Amino acid sequence: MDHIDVKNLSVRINDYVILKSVSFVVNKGQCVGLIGKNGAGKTTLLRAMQGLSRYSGVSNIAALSYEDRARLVAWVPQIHDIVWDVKVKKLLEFTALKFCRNAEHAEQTISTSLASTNTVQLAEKNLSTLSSGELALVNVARALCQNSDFILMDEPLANLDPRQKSTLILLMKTLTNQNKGIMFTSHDMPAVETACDRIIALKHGALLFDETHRITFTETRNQEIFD
Amino acid sequence: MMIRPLPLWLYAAAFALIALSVSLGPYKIDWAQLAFDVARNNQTIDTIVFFELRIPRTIMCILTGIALGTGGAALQTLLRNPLAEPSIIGISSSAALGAVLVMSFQLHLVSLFFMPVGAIIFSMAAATLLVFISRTSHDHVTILLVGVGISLLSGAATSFLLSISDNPYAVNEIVFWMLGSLSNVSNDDLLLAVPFALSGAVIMLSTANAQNYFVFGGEVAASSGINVKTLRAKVILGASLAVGGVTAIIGMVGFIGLLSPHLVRPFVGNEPRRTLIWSPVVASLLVLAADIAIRLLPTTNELRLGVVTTLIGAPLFLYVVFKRFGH
Repeated sequence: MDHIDVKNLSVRINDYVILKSVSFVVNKGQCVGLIGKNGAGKTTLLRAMQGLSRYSGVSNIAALSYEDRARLVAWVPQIHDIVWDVKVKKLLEFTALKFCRNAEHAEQTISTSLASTNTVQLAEKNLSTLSSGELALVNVARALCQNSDFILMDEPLANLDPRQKSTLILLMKTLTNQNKGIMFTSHDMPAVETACDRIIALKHGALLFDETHRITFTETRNQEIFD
Repeated sequence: MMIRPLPLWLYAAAFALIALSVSLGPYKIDWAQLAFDVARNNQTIDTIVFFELRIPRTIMCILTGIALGTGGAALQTLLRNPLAEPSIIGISSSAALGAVLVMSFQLHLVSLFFMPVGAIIFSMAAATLLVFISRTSHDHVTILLVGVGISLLSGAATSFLLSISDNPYAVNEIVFWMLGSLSNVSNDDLLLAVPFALSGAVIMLSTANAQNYFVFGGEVAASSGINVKTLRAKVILGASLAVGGVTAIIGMVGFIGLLSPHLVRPFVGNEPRRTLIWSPVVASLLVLAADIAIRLLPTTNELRLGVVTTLIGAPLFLYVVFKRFGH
């Protein structure tokens, strides 16, 4: 499978409609920014399209088995609390050993993941000692160890300092060049403009626009999205 | 992957505790005589005390540790909650309710077999309800809340049965049984408990590898290729079999399932898989030690196991919590 195909995806919790019949296709080699104001349904969309929450409609990746989906799509949700305080390297090992051919390949994948997220110096630290920005990057490194074709991320830039932010934007560009598909939510419009070659905007749970040409956020544009 | 073995003193402690457990008691076994009688196949007081009192009691200690240790570790990781254990999600208290129902209708006088059957039926019912309610949800707080509800409900039902009972002897018997004791465990009791407790523990241990993906919660586990729903069903089924099986025989024993994973974690770098593997070992040692302490203490009536584990376990648990989270 070389694309994510979402058709008429809707999410309803009790009688409240959170997502209204959203459809799109994401191909490998695309970097898609998912924008919209708080409560527009961005996170709900990312979760539902993977089958992580109840939905109606069709999503080709939600229909896959857990195992097959994990090989195709990695998921980086926001992490708010650490309950089991393992070492960073250990966390990556759990994932890498499952998705790599052998121990050597796993070791190599872990070092690349740490290097590309600029977290090599954190390898021997425990998760609870990390700052929220470091934890967010480690979470991305963990997803990279899955060696999947697509990576979906929820607010990956939210807690990053400017330097960490440019690391992650650079990483997303590199991954896109390596023909991986990326989709992430963000409120950081300049970052989205820099990183993405396509932007999907949600408003009140429905698709507002889906544009692949270069986008600049003018005052009127912003009003359209965020009002 | 580097595997750091647990320290040697653990093995020494296991050996010492098992040796103490089989040798302590009001009757002093003459070991030379015992060996002689066993070789000759004689039935003497020594062989009866050894094979029908001491051995079953020691094995029951270990079995209780295995059931509660795996149950506690598996549930804590699955629910992503360091306070989870079989009694908190209602499995122990439902098992107790089942057994109390059997006792208050005097069915255990018809056949002792009704005790574990009653306990396991109720712990399974609680577990099934848990699975059913949380079936469609990836949110582990739901299970915890449902479990607390079930736990309170079965506790209230037990109190209700006790308060409407017009037989003070039965009430006394039930209250004492609920406090948990290993003093009257027979080989027949073991035969009733072993199949349930061991199969439950094996089911839970079969999820050990997958447990590591729960560090960042169920959603990340699911996106790492773990069938979270199946895994959850396995843990809940395993815990209810194991805990129901032992609770029926020895009553409620608190804090072991809660405490042992916390004791193991510093040694295994908090890794969920190895916590699950080692927790039953440590739990067995804790139960053995508590049961030995009961036999050594010079009290007129033997103390109840559940009382001792809670008296020792609660302060130790508070200390562990303070050390881990108290800064």
